[in-house]
Amino acid sequence: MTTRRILIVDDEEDIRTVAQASLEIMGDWEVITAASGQEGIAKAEADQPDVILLDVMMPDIDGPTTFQHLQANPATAHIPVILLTAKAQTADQRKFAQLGVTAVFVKPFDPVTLSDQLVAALDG
Amino acid sequence: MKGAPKQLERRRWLPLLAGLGGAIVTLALWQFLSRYKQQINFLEAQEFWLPELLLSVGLLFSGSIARLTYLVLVARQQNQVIAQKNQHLLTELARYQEMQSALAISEQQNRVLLESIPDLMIRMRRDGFYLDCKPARGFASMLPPQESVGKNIYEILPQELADQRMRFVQEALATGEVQSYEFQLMIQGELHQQEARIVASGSNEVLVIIRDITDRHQIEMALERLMRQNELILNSAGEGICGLDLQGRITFMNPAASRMLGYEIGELLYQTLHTVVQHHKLDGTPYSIEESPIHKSLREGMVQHRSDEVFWRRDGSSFPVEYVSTPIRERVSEAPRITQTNSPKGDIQIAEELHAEDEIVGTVIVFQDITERRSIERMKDEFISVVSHELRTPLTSIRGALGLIATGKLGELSDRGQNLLDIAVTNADRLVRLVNDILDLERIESGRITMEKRLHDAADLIQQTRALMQTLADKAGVDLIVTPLSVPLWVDGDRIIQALTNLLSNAIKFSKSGDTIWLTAQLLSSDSPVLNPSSPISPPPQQLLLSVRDQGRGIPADKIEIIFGRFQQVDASDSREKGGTGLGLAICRSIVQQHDGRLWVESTLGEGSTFYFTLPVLKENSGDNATNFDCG
Repeated sequence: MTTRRILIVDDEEDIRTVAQASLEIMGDWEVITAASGQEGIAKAEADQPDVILLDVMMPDIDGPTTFQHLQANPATAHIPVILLTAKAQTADQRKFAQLGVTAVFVKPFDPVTLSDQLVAALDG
Repeated sequence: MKGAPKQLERRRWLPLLAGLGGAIVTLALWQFLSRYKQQINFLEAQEFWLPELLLSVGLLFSGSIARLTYLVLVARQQNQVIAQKNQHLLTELARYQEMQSALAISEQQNRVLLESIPDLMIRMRRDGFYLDCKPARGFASMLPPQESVGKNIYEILPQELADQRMRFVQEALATGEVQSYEFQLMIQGELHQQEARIVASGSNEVLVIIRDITDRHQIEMALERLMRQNELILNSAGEGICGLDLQGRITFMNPAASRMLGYEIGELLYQTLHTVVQHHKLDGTPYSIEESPIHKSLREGMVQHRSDEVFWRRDGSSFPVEYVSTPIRERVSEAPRITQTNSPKGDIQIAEELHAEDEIVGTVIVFQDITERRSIERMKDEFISVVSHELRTPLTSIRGALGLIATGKLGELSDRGQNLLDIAVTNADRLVRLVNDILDLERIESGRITMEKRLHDAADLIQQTRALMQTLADKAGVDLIVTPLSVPLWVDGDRIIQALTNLLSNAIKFSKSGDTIWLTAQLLSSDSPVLNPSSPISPPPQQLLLSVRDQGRGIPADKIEIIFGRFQQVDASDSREKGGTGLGLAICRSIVQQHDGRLWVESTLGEGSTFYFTLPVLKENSGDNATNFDCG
C-alpha cells in the first residue's frame, strides 16, 4: 500500500494531534494539518493532498463553507473531502452528505479504525 | 208499544160478542119454554112469569159476562202498558247508574290530577280570608293547608309577606290581570323560594297559586355561578379562545384573542375566522379555506393541533401560532331507527328504537402566539449544538489518545497500567454514550428532532438490526432468533433501528451465555385489547407488534414502569456493570411515541422479560407514500 497524503483541517490542536497519531500509527499516511478553514484552503492548493479531513465547526469559516471554496477552486475541486462533525443528529449528517462530500465521519472517531474508514470511503 | 191500541181496539168487541151470545142463548131458551109450556105440567102454576123471569136473569147474566170480559181485557191492556213503562224505567236506571259510575271515575281522576299538581292553591276573599285550600304533596307551608281555611292571611303569614300578597290581591281584583311575584319564606329553619300567581275570581275573590321554586332557584343560581366562572376563565385566560359556528364564523372570543389579533371583539363577531386571520400562509401564498385544519375539524369532527401556521393581525403583521381546534358536538335528536330482522321461523320482525345523534355544531379554537417560544427553542438549539460540540471535542481527544495507547504501538504498559488504561477507555466510551443519549432524548422529547419518516419495509429494518447486533450476540454467546414480517411502515428507519438495537442490546446485557433472544414481528388485529382506543370516527390503523424476548433475570413488578424514566435502572449498579446510561428505554419510548406507537414490558422474575412496541401499519391506499421502499 502506497503512502497517501492527508490534510487534517481542525481548529482543535488536540484533535489534530490525535488524528495525526492515529493515521501515522495505524495506517500509512503522510499527514499535513491546518488550524483553520483559510489555512486549509491554502494548504490544499499548495500541497495537493489525496484527501482532506475537514472539521465542520470552526471559528473563521466553517467546514461546509470551506468545502464550497475548495470546490470553487479548480486547483482543489478534485480533492475528495471528508467532513468530521460533532453533530450527532442524523438530519445534520444527511444535510452535510448532500453537499457533495465523499463521506461524513462523526466525532468522537475511533483512532484504531480511522485509517481503515478513510481508505474504505476513498476506495468505495 | 204501537201494537197495543190496535189490539185493544180489536178486543173491544169481545165483551159485546160475549153479551150477545148470552142473550141469544137466553132468547132461545125463553122461546123453547114459551112453546112447550103446556107440555110441562109442573110449570103451569107459573106459566105467566117463568119464561120472563128466565129471560130477565139470562139477559142480566149476559150483560155481566160482557162487562166482566171488558174489565178483564182493560186490566190486561193496562198491565202491558205498565210492564212497558217498567222496562223503560229499568233502562233509564241502568243508564243513570253508568253515568254515576263514569262521574265517580272522572271525579277520582280529577282528584288525582289535582293532588299531583305541586302547587298550593288557595281561594281567598278580598279581605284576606281563606275560603278553601288545596294541599300539595310535600309542599312546605307555614300552616297545614286544612288548618288555614277559615283564617285570615295575617294569622298565617308574617306581616310583611301578608302585606305584599294583599297588595297583589287588590291589584288582581282591580285590573283583572294575573299578578305574579316571587318571595322568600323561612319554614322550619330552611329558606324557601316561592312564586305566587294571583287570579281574580269574581269581584270579591281570588285564586292564589303558590309554587315552591327552591330547587329551580338553586339550579339557576348554580348555572349563573358557572357562567360567571366560565366568563372569568375566558377573560383571564392567557390563550386566545374563540368559538366558530359550522360555517367558520366567530361566535365568541375572549379578550386575549382580540388582543393578540389586534381587533376589538365586536369587530370580529360573525366574521369568518379564516378570512380575517388565516388568509395567507407565511410565504405569502393564499391559504384556501378547504386546506385549513380548522375547517377540516368542522367537516370531519376531529381535533386538530397545529403549531406550524401563522395568524395575521389587523395591522398586517403575522405571528407564529399554535392552536387546537376542538369540534363542539351536541345531541340534537332522538330519531327512531327502524330495524328489520328475520326470525328463525322466517317471520320478518320490525323494531323501532330511539337512538341519540351527535351533530357537529361548531368548534372551539384555543391559540397562542409562540414567537417567544420559537425564540427560546432557537436559543436552546444553539446551546445544544454548542454543548454537543464542546463536549465531544475534548472527548474525541481523550478517547482517541487512550485508544492509541491501548493498541500497544506506542510502547508496552505494565499489567496494572494496562488495567487502568482499560478503565479509562471504558469510561470514556460511557461518557460518549451518555452525551449522545442526553442530547438525543432532549431533542426527541422537545420535538426538535423531526422524525424523518419514509416508507420502509418492517422486515428490512429488522434484518438491518440483526446485522448490527449479531456480533454482540455472538460475543456474549447468545442465540438470536429473528422472525421478520414484510409490512409497509411510514417511519424514521434510523430511529426504529435505534430503538430495536437498544432493546436487543439490553437483552444481550442481561442474558447468560447459552440463552436465547427472540426478535419477533407480528400483525395485530384492530380490535386487539393491547391497542389504545383511537378516534371514534376513523377506525384505528392496523398495528405491527415488535417484541424482544429474553431469558434474563426479569424485572420486579415495582420497577416495570419506572425503568422507562430517565436515569432509571433496575439496579443502581447496572450502569457501572452493564455500561448503560439509564436513558436508553426513555429514548426508545420517545421514539415509539413519536410514531404513534406504544412501548411496554411484561416480565417474570427469574424467567425473563419481553419488551413490546407497536407501530401503525401503512394502509395500502395511502397515496404517494406507498410507492417505493426506502431500504437505507
